[in-house]
Amino acid sequence: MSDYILNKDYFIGVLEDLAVLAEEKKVYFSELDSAIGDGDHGMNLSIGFREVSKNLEGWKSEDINTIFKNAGTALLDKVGGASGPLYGGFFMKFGVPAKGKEEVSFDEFIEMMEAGVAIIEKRGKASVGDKTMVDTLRPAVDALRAVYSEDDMAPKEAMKKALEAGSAGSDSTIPIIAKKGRAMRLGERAIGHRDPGSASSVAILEIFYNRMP
Amino acid sequence: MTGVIIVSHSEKLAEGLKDIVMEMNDGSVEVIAAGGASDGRIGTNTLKIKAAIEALAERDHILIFVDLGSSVLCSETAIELVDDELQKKVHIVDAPLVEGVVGGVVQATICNDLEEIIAMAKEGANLNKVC
Repeated sequence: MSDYILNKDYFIGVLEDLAVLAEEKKVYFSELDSAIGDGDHGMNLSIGFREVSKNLEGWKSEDINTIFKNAGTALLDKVGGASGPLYGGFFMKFGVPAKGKEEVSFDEFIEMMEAGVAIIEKRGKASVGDKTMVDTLRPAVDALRAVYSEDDMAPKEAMKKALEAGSAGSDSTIPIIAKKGRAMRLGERAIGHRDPGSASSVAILEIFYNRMP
Repeated sequence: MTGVIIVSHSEKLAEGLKDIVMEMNDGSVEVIAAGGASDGRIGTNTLKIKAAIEALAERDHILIFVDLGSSVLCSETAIELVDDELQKKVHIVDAPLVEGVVGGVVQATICNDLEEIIAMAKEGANLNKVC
């Protein structure tokens, strides 16, 4: 699988699809957030990715790292809630292993994912079981690393396993109380509701998967 | 001398609190309101906070006061984004917003001792409003 390459067009395509997704799922994410948070998750992501989409054309000549650094900074600026520094940080760190590159190997792609998830955990001071986006992202990247390196699975197949692990992780947020964010104050009232950040993280992983060659 | 940054989800709340505290400020403490999301919606903005920190770079210490949730996360992220030397000057104060800012700013007009200023701001949590 060493000849498997993800090129810059792939990553640009992911960012284009993310902007479409943020519009399509705006109401869904905000409804999830209304149940246990402040109801602005959908609007926040929509405004953030609209800014990415508006500027993407001008970034296309840059290397992969710069494109994601710019995208992350746009999210940091435009997204008004905690998801701004979290997803903003994700994309800023995601690009770093691809510094100066126009394409990456699948190993490098996994490193990018790991770097992105690590900054979300660090900034959010969250771990699995806290009812946050980490419940999706941590099992997903762990599965990605495990199945690709240990089972020698084809990259797209490995990404599918990661998506499944992430999706199961998001499901696992439904029956638990929250240990982070505004939902924390609700105590047991948060039980029975999916964490909105975990849902948007699944949707983001799905785009990375769908776009893979 | 001290610089103070007010981070609230509401731009108006941050501005209003700044107005209140400026009545007790002899001019020696620089106060910046960094409230609201980038477009004035309810929210917090990391880059606005970062710009405020950089605007106060010449101050001896910079105290950030926050309201809820993402105001802490955005402030921590803003601190990460400034130069290492400047980072050392910045402190997020674990105090109630109104009482903390008033207590901290007033103390900062009296002395330049970081620990004393922070202690006075935190003391705001113990004030009895109704006896």
